[in-house]
Amino acid sequence: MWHIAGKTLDSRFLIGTAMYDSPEIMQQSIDASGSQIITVSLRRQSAGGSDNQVFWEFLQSFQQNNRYLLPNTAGCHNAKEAILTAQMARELFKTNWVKLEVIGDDYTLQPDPFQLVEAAKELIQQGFEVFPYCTDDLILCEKLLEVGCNILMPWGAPIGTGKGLMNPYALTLLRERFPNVPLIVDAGIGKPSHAAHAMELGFDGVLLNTAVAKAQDSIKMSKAFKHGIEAGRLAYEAGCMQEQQKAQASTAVVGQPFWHLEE
Amino acid sequence: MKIVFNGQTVELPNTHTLSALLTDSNLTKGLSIEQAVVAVNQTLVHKSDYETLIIHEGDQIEMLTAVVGG
Repeated sequence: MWHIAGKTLDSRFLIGTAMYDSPEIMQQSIDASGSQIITVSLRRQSAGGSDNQVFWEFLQSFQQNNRYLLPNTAGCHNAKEAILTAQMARELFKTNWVKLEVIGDDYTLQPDPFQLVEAAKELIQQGFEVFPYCTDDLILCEKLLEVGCNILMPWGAPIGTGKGLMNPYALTLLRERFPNVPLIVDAGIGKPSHAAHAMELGFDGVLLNTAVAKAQDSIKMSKAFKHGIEAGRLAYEAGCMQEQQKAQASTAVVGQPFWHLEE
Repeated sequence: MKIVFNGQTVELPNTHTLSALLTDSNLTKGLSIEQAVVAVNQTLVHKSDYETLIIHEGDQIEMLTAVVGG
């Protein structure tokens, strides 16, 4: 069990709801993940709207048994847009949680750190629990904590790239500097081994979407990530051995048979 | 009176409250008020204010709903 935003959760796997082949596969993938937090978004109603109705009903059923929605501000490019989107999400989803995204570059979807801090500060003053999608920059993370964020969500790599942890050094440093802040790697995870790596570094959770949604078998991949995240956490708690340069035989030398000594 | 609703310019015959506007299924595409959230001129409007808020010429209205997201 772990704690985030006043909730006690079993699952450390946060999963997105986008890009699945069908609503049914999305729901089965989320079930397979065991996730207790799913991300959602806001957009204009599409023509017809039957998918919207199905999704709405799913969201109502999901929010039972200690499971929660995390609305995002995807697509926002400045603090003003992000603040309004967060306000609208709070009104619609009846939650003060927001995954705060303020994009600064459309090629990398890298967050704009200045607008991100400005938006976080204002939203926290308005009573939001801000989950900031940020880079792994130490100073940015410090500023986010200074304005009142209780959680940090640095990227592993740009959204949707599946490259894994591009800068383990920076992520390790964040864990060392902020031992009591819930840290979640958000974005860039492509394989369960990437998620396990993040958890081995001591991160509290992993948020991902594309790696499951775009797998050939999303449901099976969701299970794979669940196990990867659990394995990584267990490894962190168990304490991994220290790396070393020199090889060291694991079988005892004492009692070795004589023919090894003949030359 | 012309307004902009979800990015499209719309001609309204007379004065509307926001509540009346949101009963026009051609605009809302059948989306129910319970599943929607509205901003007028980039300001959130709480549901309790729909009945009293008067739409004016040139107002920009966004009516959003829940969608999948990462």
